[in-house]
Amino acid sequence: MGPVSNALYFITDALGSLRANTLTALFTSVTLGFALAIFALFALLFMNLNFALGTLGDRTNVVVYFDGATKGAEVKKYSTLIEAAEGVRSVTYVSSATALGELKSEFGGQDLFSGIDSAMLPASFEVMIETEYREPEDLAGVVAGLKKLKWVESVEYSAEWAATLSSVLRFVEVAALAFGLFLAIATIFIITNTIRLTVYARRDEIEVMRLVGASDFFIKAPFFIEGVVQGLFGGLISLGLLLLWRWILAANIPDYLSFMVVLPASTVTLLIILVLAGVATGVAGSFISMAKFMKI
Amino acid sequence: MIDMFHVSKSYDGNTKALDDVTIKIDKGEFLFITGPSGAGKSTLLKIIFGSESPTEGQIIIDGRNYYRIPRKEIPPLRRRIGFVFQDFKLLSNKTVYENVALALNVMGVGQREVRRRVLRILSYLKIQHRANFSPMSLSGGEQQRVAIARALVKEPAIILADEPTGNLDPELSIDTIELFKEVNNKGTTVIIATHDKSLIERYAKRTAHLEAGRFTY
Ligand SMILES: Nc1ncnc2c1ncn2[C@@H]1O[C@H](COP(=O)(O)OP(=O)(O)O)[C@@H](O)[C@H]1O
Ligand SMILES: [Mg+2]
Repeated sequence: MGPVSNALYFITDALGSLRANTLTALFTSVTLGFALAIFALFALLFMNLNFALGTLGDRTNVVVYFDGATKGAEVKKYSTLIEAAEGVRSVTYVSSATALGELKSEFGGQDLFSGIDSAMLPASFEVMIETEYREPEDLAGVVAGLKKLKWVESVEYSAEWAATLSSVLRFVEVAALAFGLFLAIATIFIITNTIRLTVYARRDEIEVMRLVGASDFFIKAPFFIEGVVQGLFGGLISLGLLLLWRWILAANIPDYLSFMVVLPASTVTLLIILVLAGVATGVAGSFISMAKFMKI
Repeated sequence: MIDMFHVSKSYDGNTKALDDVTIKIDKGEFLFITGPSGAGKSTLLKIIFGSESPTEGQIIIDGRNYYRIPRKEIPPLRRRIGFVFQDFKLLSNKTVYENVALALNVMGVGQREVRRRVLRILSYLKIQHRANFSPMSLSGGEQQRVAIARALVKEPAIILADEPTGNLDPELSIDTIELFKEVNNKGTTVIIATHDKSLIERYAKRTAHLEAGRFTY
């Protein structure tokens, strides 16, 4: 018999076994679906939160003050030089007049500053830092580089802000890694144990198949197919749960919690990822559960 | 066909289930392995079947040495051997037909051929009317016929049977042995392990007697 009728036999056998053990198979798919959904939800929260924190990093700015009065041409030249420095993303020139305007709007009342001439406020360059240079040590390096420019009088930045941000980011990363690892282990544990039910239900069959001369491949193939089918359904169920989560929460939560429901990818991309993850987990679970019975 | 040289088997390291066993079994032979319970009969059959490996000695089947048989060579070996297990090892969640068909399915035989051969062996053993029943709804004698059908359906070169009359009344026991004789007459090597002395006395066949793992001819 050729590979085609062999494949047909395996598929018939696997579907037959799924039908005979509908409840167990369904239970496995649903468990897989929930596990994947929890994992996906966690990944989603982490990605969104990380993104939100990343935008906080844009506040890491450095202000460069410089000597004397500047003409338009010099502003342009200085700006280009600063922009060329290592770790600099962009440069904005803040003239004395702009600085005064900002100050006034920040403190609301104009009276307070009525006696102040814009010339008393120095002009400056506001420098935005590249994402990769926002760690305290890197930032110090960037600042040192800027200080070397001979027309620069002083460079100001908040080392404290940089340190706080970096420690918050690191904490989130470590916490996410630890929790993600825990979730992954828990998921694998739950899945293999659930699938073990399916395999356990067929342990006599595995034994008898071996006794009548079945190859390992012949024994494993139906379980492989079962794993694929269960994984497929598990993936679909997890996507359903995820969409349900968004649907229930989206209408009822304030804006600042929107990171809990924004999906970081399109539904189709999520579908593909979740189904692939489901199939991979299903197959892996089948094989891990089966390994024990293959020794017979 | 089967050659065992100085085969010893110890399960736990000290007591020997088989102790320096040497035997030559020719193609087409009919052999009784006898001896009291615990003498090592089942162990001997298991070694031929590749489900136990000898602690010492050599076993050669069809010119191949099966001492420490590699895992992937077990399936081809078992396809040439029909084993009738003492506890039958039938699957209760499958029908009689499916149980017997499994032996051919694992060999990759096409479904039409499977059907033809399974129905033929079931009617040969007079259990075709039970084809769609679960083995659990059958009597002990019928279950044994299903087990024999599964062993015979692949037309193996060797039949091994472990206490095939253990659960049967005397009349059925004789029927069963007659059946094995018929199979043997067609050229199949048959090896039967039994502690039933009356059976051996009834048939003047070659007999190898085991006592505590040793042959006493
Ligand atoms: N799987 C096993 N583990 C440990 N000891 C075993 C095992 N199988 C058989 N034995 C021992 O090996 C000896 C021979 O057993 P067995 O081959 O079953 O004898 P028989 O079939 O003649 O009754 C007995 O002492 C038995 O207790
Ligand atoms: Mg025995």
